[in-house]
Amino acid sequence: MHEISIVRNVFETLQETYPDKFERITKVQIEAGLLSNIQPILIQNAFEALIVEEPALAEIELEVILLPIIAHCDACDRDFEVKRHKFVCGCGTPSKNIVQGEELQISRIEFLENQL
Amino acid sequence: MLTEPIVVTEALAKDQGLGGRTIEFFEIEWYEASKSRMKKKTQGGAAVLVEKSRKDPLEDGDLLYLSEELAILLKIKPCDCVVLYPRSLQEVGTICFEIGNKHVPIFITDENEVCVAYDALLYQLLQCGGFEMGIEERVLHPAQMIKAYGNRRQK
Repeated sequence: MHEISIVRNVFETLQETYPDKFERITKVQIEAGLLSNIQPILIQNAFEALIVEEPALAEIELEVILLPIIAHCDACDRDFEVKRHKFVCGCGTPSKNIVQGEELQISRIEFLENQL
Repeated sequence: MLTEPIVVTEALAKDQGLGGRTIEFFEIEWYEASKSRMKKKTQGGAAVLVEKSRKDPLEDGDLLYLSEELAILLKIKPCDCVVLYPRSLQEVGTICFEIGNKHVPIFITDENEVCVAYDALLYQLLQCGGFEMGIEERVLHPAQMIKAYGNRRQK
């Protein structure tokens, strides 16, 4: 439920990181793990609201990629996907050793090419 | 070689025949239907840039592009959903109140089921309420999403 401030922070971070290239950004991809408590629809809606406030952002696509939860099983020394929050490996061993799923990160940025 | 994407500003009229054309799908997640801008490739490799001129969400099956050879349709990917089967109008209200507190969209199907994208914490919360429910793979149709204002079915 903090998606509006998250989206604002994303674009503030990009403005600070790319002060000279910010206006050439065409796409921002965010990866959100299923344990990050982020609702992609709320991120998208927050971005659409931000565009109304800052129309220059309308030229940017914001894409949210949901990352599945991956845990590590010590018994068989393998990673497995946690489906529907069942933290149990295929071998039957429970595991709370999370390898992926808690992330919330800017994973990719695309810039307009061939612009002087 | 770079090729310009097909630019789509709105869905085309649905009453157009597609006979003889190659049909390709522009696949999106359910939560992307309201995006004003998105660029993806169809499964056939055609680059499509959606730049919507209106706020209305796209709908599963929308015709995005039509030429003599090619038709591109929108496909909303199915996802895990919590599907609830309310036994009374009061239960509908209670369910929508609980889900609404999470600020996530609620969908009501033609069969009066209440659907919401699966979320483990929400599922556990609803389980505690003793509602009749299950987890199913469904397509969440924007037209079935209930809104705070101006609820109406889109044709």
